[in-house]
Amino acid sequence: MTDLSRLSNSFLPDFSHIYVEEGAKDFPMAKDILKRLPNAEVIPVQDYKSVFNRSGQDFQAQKKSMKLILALKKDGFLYKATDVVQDAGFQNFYYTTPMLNCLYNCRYCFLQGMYPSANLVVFVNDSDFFDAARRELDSRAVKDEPLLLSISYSTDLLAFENIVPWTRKWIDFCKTNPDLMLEIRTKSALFSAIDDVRPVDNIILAWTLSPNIIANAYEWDAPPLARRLKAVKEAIAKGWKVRLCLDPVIPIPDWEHVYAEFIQMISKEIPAEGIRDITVGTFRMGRDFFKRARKRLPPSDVYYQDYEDRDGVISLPKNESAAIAEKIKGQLTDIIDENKISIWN
Amino acid sequence: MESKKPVLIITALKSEAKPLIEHYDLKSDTESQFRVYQKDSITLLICGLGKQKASESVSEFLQEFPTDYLLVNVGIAGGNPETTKIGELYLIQKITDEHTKREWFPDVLLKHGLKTSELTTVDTAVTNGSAGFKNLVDMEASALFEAGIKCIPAHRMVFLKIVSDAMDEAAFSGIDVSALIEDKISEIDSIIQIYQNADVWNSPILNDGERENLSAGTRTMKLTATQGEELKILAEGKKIKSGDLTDLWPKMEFQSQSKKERNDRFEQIKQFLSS
Ligand code: SF4
Repeated sequence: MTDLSRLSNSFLPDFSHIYVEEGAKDFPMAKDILKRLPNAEVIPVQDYKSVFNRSGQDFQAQKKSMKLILALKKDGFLYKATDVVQDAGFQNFYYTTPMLNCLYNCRYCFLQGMYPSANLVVFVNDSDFFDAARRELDSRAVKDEPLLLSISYSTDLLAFENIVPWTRKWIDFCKTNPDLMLEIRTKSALFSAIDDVRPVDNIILAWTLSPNIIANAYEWDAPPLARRLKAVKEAIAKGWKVRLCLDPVIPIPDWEHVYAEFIQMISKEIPAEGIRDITVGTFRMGRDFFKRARKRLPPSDVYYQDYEDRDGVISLPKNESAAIAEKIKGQLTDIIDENKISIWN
Repeated sequence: MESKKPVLIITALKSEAKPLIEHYDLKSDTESQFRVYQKDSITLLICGLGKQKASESVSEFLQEFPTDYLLVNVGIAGGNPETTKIGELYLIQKITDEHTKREWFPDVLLKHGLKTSELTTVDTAVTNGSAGFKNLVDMEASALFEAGIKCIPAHRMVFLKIVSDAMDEAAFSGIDVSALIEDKISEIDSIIQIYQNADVWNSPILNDGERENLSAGTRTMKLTATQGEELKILAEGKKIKSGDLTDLWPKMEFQSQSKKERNDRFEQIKQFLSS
């Protein structure tokens, strides 16, 4: 008889189960993923939404043993970006969602409010995404500007590269489509997964960095700052000019001092000539996502600050977020030209 | 010591329940309208055979006793002899309702050490062989899941099925249901203990006493529903940040004589909670 008592309070490893949508299983990307996770239990499903969108899921409980869902995306391959996403002045700005949900569990992340599940969906019909991107490139509104595409909107795509090489696929696509500009935003330390890619101007590698105290308290399961910095330095050593994202800046007690030390550390660790630009932002989230995210247990103090509702977006009061951003900007001008700093608040 | 987490065991038949009643020394609640047995943290409900009885019984029970349960369905099932073995216990990872074709998924988050299977819930017993059913069949699981998920999250719904027959007529008469369950009682008990001890229960931000105080204060002050909701969120925030709400309650013992007075007092409390 199995001695089950020794299993007390131990969670199954992430991806112990893979739900595979009918129709998805024969796609090369699905086969490849299933090969990489040979011990997973494979459960066929008619439609991925019957697993992902079902009621009665507990987001934070599921985070302790995330499952994978392989599916086909049927429509909505590229979305026009909304106000909450940074556009850096680009008019043809889109995002795409080759995966839903993230390996990490940042307490301020809108995904907790956006999706009913913490399980990760990987869409495996990659060529449909690229066909849609080609169509959008051809029909983009402002022809003399590139089409800026954020591929890490609903996930941290690079973090997942060892299981699903979606980032590399987008990079390969981008190399043959010079009118496309790709933003790959990440907190991962996995630059090694793409370190053979030759740096090109139309691919932006962007790392979100936070002071250690913030990363530890709010960026659960993401690599600690030191490992992110190491990845940034590796990228720069390979010739990339990286974007740094200080977003969201969280005004914890003594934040000015915390961020001043943090920025000093960045200036020591990262060679200025390797920085393409820096974006700075404060917390903001769509009202409906915010309300849902606040209900997730265990609770986070992120959802209990004095925010204001600006046209459906919950954020710090305008003057407060502007003051924070200005302060940070002032400190960053020691590292980089002012015109390479963009503010989002 | 923290009390054990509440468990609701559901069986369709008395013969499935019998070994569990004996093992946990459960006592019949003769006052109850339900066929229910109970002791300490364990409650056992016999829901009756088939989807309709399962659905009605569980829905009504959970409506009357909305407790943060671990729901464990224990029962026998027919098994395809090619994929399952008579007498074996399986933890179910997917339930398909044969009639509606709807699929249900208990979230399996904890290590359990059991064999796993998919299950089809049928409307009438299958006695003409397992053709068309790749794994297990029963007559209640989809209805239990559908009724249970309205109150209990998917990661605290556990379906344990013991194979009693190979879905053929001949085998049906001689099944000793109680003996099959009895034989697996220690595995069933281990699963229950694993879940009871695991970090799969959430505590709400405000405890029962704090929620009661807040409602009482809201009534005393005659706050509007919107004001009451705003106050609840602010109180949650205060509790998260300072861990304590004892200074709030005296401020809410205030019967206002006018709307203005109430609104002024409400603003003062808001300021206190935001500080
Ligand atoms: S890394 Fe980004 S997508 Fe992932 S949890 Fe954190 S904020 Fe959300």
